[in-house]
Amino acid sequence: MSTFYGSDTACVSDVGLIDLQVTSPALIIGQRLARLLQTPRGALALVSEPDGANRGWDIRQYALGRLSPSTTQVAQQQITNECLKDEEVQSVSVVVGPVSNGTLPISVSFVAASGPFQFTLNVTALTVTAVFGQ
Amino acid sequence: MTITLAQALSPNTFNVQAIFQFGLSVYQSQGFPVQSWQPGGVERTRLMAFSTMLADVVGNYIPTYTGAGFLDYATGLWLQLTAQELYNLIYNSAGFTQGNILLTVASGASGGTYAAGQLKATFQASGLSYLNAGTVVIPAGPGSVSALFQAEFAGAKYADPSNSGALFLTSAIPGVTLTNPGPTPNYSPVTHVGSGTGTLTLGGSPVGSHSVIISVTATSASSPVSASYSLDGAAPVALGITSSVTNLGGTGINITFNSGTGTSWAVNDSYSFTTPGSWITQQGNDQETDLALATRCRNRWASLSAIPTQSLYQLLATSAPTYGQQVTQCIVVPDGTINNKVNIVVAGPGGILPGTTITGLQSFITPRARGCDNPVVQSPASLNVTLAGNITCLASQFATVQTSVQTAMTSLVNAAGINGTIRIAAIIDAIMNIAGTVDAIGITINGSGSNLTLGNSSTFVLAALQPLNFTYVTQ
Repeated sequence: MSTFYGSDTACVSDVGLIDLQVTSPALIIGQRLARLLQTPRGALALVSEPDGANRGWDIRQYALGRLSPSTTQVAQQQITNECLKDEEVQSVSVVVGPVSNGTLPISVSFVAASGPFQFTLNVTALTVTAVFGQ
Repeated sequence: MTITLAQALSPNTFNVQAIFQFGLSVYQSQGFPVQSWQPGGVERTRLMAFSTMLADVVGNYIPTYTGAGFLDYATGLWLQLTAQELYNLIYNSAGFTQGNILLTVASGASGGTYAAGQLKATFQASGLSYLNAGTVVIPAGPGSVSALFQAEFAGAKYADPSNSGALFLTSAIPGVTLTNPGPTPNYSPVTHVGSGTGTLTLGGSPVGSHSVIISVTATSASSPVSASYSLDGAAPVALGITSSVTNLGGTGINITFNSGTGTSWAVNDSYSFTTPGSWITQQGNDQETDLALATRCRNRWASLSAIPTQSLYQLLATSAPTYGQQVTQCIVVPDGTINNKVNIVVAGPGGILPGTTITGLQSFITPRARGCDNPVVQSPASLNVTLAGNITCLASQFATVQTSVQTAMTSLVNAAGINGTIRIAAIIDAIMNIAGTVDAIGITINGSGSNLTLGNSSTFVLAALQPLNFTYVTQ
């Protein structure tokens, strides 16, 4: 029996002029993780989300700093920890960097009940764009 | 959602989760898959944001609107609106302290004319400043001039005592020094209730703080007068028929009774005054609290009846134009000796009110007395209260403990009010609630380890806190 993930409005960094609904688990979970990785820690508490104080991890902080091998490892672990808080994510693997043309790529491969999925966040000092794989 | 009256009055009724769950149920009834909405999801976050906003607005607005017309629930501007619209009472805004300061000019110093606000006098002890209320002409030295000064800001804290010590002009004028003595002789103005034209001249050298009421016991066209006196709220003592009194009740107070035109002395007339007098002619006050305003509103009901009640006179005392706002304490006590006399005992945030205030209140209340009532406005007698004992505190917080103890004891004694009780247990409790204190033992009030009850049904007393006499032990 397949897992029902419901539906949600498409949104990575902003909602569109016209609300589009997504039903694919890759996009529902992937976009949700992408948003949480652009949310400062504790911001969800402002909208009274239970445990909101412990959710969110803004990856844009990495684009502003210099990543050494050790700090890259720390960043990967921090992003992994944030993704694992989502109850629909069973496991996750994160690869950060290297920086190319001023853009820091962060690849997130996660496994949900319906299978493995992957997306990449391209982070600059100003923007975050997401590319969703299968 | 249905709510009860109690919930409508409570700001905690509309919490975010309740509204969020209600919103989810609405979504669910329309077929939305709300069970799958995870934290961080767009629709879930959007609904949570709406719920948070709605809870904040509704939780504040609904209780405010619901309670706006009820004296027990309305607050702030809503209560002021209710008081004005339903009870025809305007709240008492904060008022300015005014008093007379003496400017003394040394020999050889030149004088000058200063417009209102040009002279700023500051008390070193309190740090509070006052500005000249009108034009002041300072004469060339040697000389002096007494000028009316008004507090820089409105509020009750402007209650510097007479002869406060160091008092200086912010912009010093060479050869000019400032003092704030009480009036000479050191009495408040005499407040007269009644139709007689006679007046009192006060003299002597009064010892201690006293309140005196002279009651005329027989009508006469001129002096001598048949009268009695009540000292510090005690039962009246007959003076017999006399033209003057020397050393009244052993207090050093001398009184001369001066005839007027027509009927000088009318039976049941009263003349009251206090000593020492004060440099303050108008006591400043803080903005009326919600509780005080609500009490005045409730007292309004008594004014609708032809039969007066205590709350009627309390309403009049606290609502008199100009003077009512200075009254922060008021007790109404039928006199135990004169059957139609109603004692209206008032005090302000700084304690005893100026004589001009007592006179002003009397002038407002007298024509509004009901039936054959004889309301007499008066100040309570002032009783010096000295607190002593041993306080143990942490050495690192010694300074802050001392300051906090002073603040706490001032509030505690002020809260006792007219004829209140100052309790040893309350003193210890207040001290122990101060961070840094470890112990408080041997607490005494005026040297006694017992509670102090101020006054009784025929004696009206207000406490005047003296410098604290606590011994501190640090550890």
